Amino acid sequence: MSRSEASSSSIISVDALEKTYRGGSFFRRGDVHALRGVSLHAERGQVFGLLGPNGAGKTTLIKILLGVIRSTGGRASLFGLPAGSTEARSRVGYLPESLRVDRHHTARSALRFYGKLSRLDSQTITRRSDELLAVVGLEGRDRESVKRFSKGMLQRLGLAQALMHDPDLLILDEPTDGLDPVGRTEVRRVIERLRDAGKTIFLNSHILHEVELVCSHLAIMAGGNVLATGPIAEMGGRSAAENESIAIEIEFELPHADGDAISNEDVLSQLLAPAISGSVQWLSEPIDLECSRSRYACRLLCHEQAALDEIVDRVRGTGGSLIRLLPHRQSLEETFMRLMESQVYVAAP
Amino acid sequence: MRPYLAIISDSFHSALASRVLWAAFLAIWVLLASLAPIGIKEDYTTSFRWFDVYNGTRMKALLAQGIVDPKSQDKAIGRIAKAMPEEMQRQLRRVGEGDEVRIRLTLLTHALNDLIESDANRGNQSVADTADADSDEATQSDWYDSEAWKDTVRLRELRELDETPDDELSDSLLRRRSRLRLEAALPGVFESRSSRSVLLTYAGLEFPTDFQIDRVQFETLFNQFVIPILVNWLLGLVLVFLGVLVTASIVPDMLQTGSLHLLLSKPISRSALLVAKFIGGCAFVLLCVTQLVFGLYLIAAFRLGVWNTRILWCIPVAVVIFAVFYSVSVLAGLKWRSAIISIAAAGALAAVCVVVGVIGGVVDARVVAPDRIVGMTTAGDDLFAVTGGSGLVQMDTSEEVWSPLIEGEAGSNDRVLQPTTLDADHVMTARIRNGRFNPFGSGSLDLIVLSRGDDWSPQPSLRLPTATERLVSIDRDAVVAINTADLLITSRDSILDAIGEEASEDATGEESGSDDGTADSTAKSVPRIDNSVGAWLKALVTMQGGATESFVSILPRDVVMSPPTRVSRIRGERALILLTGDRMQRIEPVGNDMMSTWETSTRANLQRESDRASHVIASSSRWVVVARGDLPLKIYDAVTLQFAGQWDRDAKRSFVSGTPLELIAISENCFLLRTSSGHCDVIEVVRGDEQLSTLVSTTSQELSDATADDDVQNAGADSNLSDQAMTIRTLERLPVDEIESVHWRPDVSVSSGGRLYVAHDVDRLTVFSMSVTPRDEQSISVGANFSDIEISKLRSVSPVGSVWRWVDRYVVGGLELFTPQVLQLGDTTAAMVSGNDSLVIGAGESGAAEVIRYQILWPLVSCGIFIAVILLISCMYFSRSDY
Repeated sequence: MSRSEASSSSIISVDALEKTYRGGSFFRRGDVHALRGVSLHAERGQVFGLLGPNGAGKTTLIKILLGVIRSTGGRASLFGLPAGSTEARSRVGYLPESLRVDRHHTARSALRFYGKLSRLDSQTITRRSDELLAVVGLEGRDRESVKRFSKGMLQRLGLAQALMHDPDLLILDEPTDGLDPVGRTEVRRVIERLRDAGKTIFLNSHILHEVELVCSHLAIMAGGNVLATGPIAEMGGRSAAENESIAIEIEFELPHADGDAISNEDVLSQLLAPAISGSVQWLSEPIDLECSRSRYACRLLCHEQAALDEIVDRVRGTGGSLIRLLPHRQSLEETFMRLMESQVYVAAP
Repeated sequence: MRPYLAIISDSFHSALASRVLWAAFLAIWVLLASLAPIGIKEDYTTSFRWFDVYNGTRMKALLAQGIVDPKSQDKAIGRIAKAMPEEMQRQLRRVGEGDEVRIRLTLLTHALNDLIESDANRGNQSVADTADADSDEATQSDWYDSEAWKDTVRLRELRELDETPDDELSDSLLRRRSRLRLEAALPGVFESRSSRSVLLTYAGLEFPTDFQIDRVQFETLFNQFVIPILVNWLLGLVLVFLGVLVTASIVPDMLQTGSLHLLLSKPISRSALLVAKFIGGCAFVLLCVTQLVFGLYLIAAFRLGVWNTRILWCIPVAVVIFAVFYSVSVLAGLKWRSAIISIAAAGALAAVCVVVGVIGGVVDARVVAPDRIVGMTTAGDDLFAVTGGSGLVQMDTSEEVWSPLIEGEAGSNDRVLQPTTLDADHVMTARIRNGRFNPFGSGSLDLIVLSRGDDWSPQPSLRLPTATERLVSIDRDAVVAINTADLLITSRDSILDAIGEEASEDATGEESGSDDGTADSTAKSVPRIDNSVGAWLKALVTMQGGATESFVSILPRDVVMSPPTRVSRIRGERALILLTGDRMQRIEPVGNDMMSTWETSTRANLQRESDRASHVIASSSRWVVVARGDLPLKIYDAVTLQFAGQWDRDAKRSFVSGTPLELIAISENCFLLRTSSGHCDVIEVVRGDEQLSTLVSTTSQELSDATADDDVQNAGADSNLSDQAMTIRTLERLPVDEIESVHWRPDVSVSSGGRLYVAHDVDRLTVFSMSVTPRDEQSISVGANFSDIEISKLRSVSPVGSVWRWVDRYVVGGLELFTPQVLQLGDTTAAMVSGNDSLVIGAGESGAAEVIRYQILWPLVSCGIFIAVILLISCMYFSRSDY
């Protein structure tokens, strides 16, 4: 799929986005490069996670998408509209990192206020309030002052306000930050319900487990760069084990006696290549397993059981014997840590 | 629009959640509850207060005469003096013997109040005597004797009370009668007061104060001073400060991350969001102010009887004041995101406003006011003027500067009399030391004559009567000095003799416009004074403002001048129109002798009307025009003083705004009307489309006062009046604003024209040539002009000012331009509440009226621009900032 095609169907499209904060004060000179050419795309119906350590530029990216700040380079669009435009914002629901609702509000009055800001009429506001208070589990507490709300209740209220106008895109910035395990679970369940309802969700978090649990796609950011982006299965996420595909690590021995070792690549390409079709993918091209003169190894992602069977048949068919056949999973954390370690941080001037 | 209304409402609710707000509400309710018991009680004006005394020296002299003059001891003043306490009598005797004795006015008024009390008790006792013949004689007072009072001039109210038996008079009326008897015995001493006064009460109890004013004064005081002060201080300071305290956190709170990002993610404009937050803050203050002002309005209406819906104008004005400070608070909040810094910024702006206001006030008082041209006259082609700094200046047309002849000074308490032209070579004036607030001043009071032959250097001439307020030149041969209680005349020759000049026979009439040209031989006679009385009596008479060696009284015996008094000279005639109290009379010399007592030829009672403003009159040979405040302008026949018509209030308002300050007759039918708005209009008396009889029946008993009163001596009942009521038409408005004073110099060679000197914009001068051409009267229809007028500008002079004037114009003016005129919004409030665009203070016969022109529009415009600019900057900052 070409980039232009991707952009046209993308809900979020970010290309070479840059943001530099100018050092303005006398005591704090020097520019801060928050984003250094970020590119990513999120499609309709995806739960897109944005993962990265503190200071990675995640919140800056979200602010640009919402129009809270302006980029200094590159391009960002929502629904094909310039990010931050009134039209784009009217289709976005946003839950800020630490929601602050004025203390004079109740849950219902806050929803009424934010509903009006989203240009909803009173009838719709009343109807949506009833629905959403039930969705987020705040029914019966809607007349209470938000002064009495726990952090988890406030986050659920924040989710409700973000959903008031039934947005096409939901941007959640650290939705479980600061919550206790029960609160996190509550919020996560709501997100899962929304995901199941087919909402496009853009989730910003630095909690790996949370991202792993709810996201279908992921971008890992650090130092203002996107280090990796793609389906979470490719990143070693939980979903890789949940779907039909299976990642395996296979090691086998072939009956060669002439002593001239054939390279791993040649054997694999000759022996297994015919089996590598649409139902089998190389997970890692370079064979990083240690191989002896007659032993060979590789990692494959098999989408069908039949493909795995064929690979085994081909090894056995050449007289070889299977030494090892292991399903393999690289965890998201491993991927994340590996990317972090490989990241060269550019110190700010 | 819905999102922004929601933000306004949310800001409002946010402010409502503040505890400070509820504390403010509580304070407002407590204040209103504490003011609610205030009420007023109306009763007859019975006792004297020190500020009722206009001429304390005259009172002292009259009472002293009553003690030391054997001929006066059986008269009213003698009986009053004799009834005074022993100590007071002793001091008055010393006054009569020529000693310099200071007697405090309060002591004198207390003594008079004791007399009122004793007289009222006597009245009550006489009623009681009918039931108890053994009453205690010792409690009775016997200062009043009807025979002794026969020589006094009694007002109709007193005559009616005297004719009423004591047992039919209430206690208040008995006291009222006593007061009127004292006023009749001491003419020219007291200010004219309404017969009824209001007393403030609190929960039904009278305030323990001497403060006693009539209802009109009370309403004026309430509307023009009390409410503006309340608004300026209570609303402008306390509530605005409270409002800033409460609302200062709205913007910093909005900028908190969890709040702002969510707001900015909504499909709303940032600028509109900020403006909506601003309006929300203002709406909160609106709520507070509305409660307070509406509460005050209800208290004023139900408790004080002042139904003035204009009070409610204070609400928007107070919100504008708040908005000025809040706009700065918002900007500071955006920049520093701190409520404390927002409050500090608003406080800093308040400090700047006060400092700039004080600097402007000081510079205006010390630099601008002393240069104001407050009165002018001409001698030949030379122009003379009195300045606000009590100086006398002459226009040097070659250098285009005002050259000082008598140096003035800023803040001077001296008063320079309006200069009067004696002839083409002489101008008269007088400088009264410390006379600004005291008509008597201190030290001697010499007439000052400036002579062309002496290069206009001031020379002392005759000794003027005490408390002289104005000089009027009659023909070219006599000068009348008008003081608080008398009209006194002297001859031109006496004045010139006193400066060692011979009277020249070819002196041409100037302002006097003497066109009969006959010089009466008696006018040149030496002023007479009764030399048979002793020196001590002469001194007493002088103290009373009576005749001096050079000036003789011409006030008719049946006329008492009680301040305020207005005198108008009829050009071309030996007659004066004298308006004193509510009575107007035309007085003329008996025969050709101007130097003896004149007589009243015609008299008319004016309708008693409630208006705080003083009368302003002018008379031509045909009409007398009387203006007073906002009341209709009245027209009387100059000969018969019959009411001839009026210029309705509404018709007048549609053309002329402000309080009338000066009327000048420029032809038979045309007059100049200068008002406190700073404009001057040429108006003309014309035939209205209304029948006089209809007008009289619908307006008042004006005509019946003028015709049916016993005292009216209408000479020539008809004159040239028809049944058609007269009215006024405006002919032209002079094309200059901010007029300080005008002087009309009729051209003796052209009977229907002359030059008009207009001082404006402090000390600038514009000279106009005006010619009035009468039309054929037979062809004049109803409402048509009698005359055609042509006005052409001859020259305009902008005198070179001092460095300080430059500083005032460019430095102070610049500061004021860039500072919101918050303090001046007090003017706006005063104007809105009172319904007047100016306040005239001290419009006495001296003509030295101080006009405070309220700046109504400019403060609002200034504050509006300031708010708009600050909000624009705030919006731009908010829109372009990363958060």
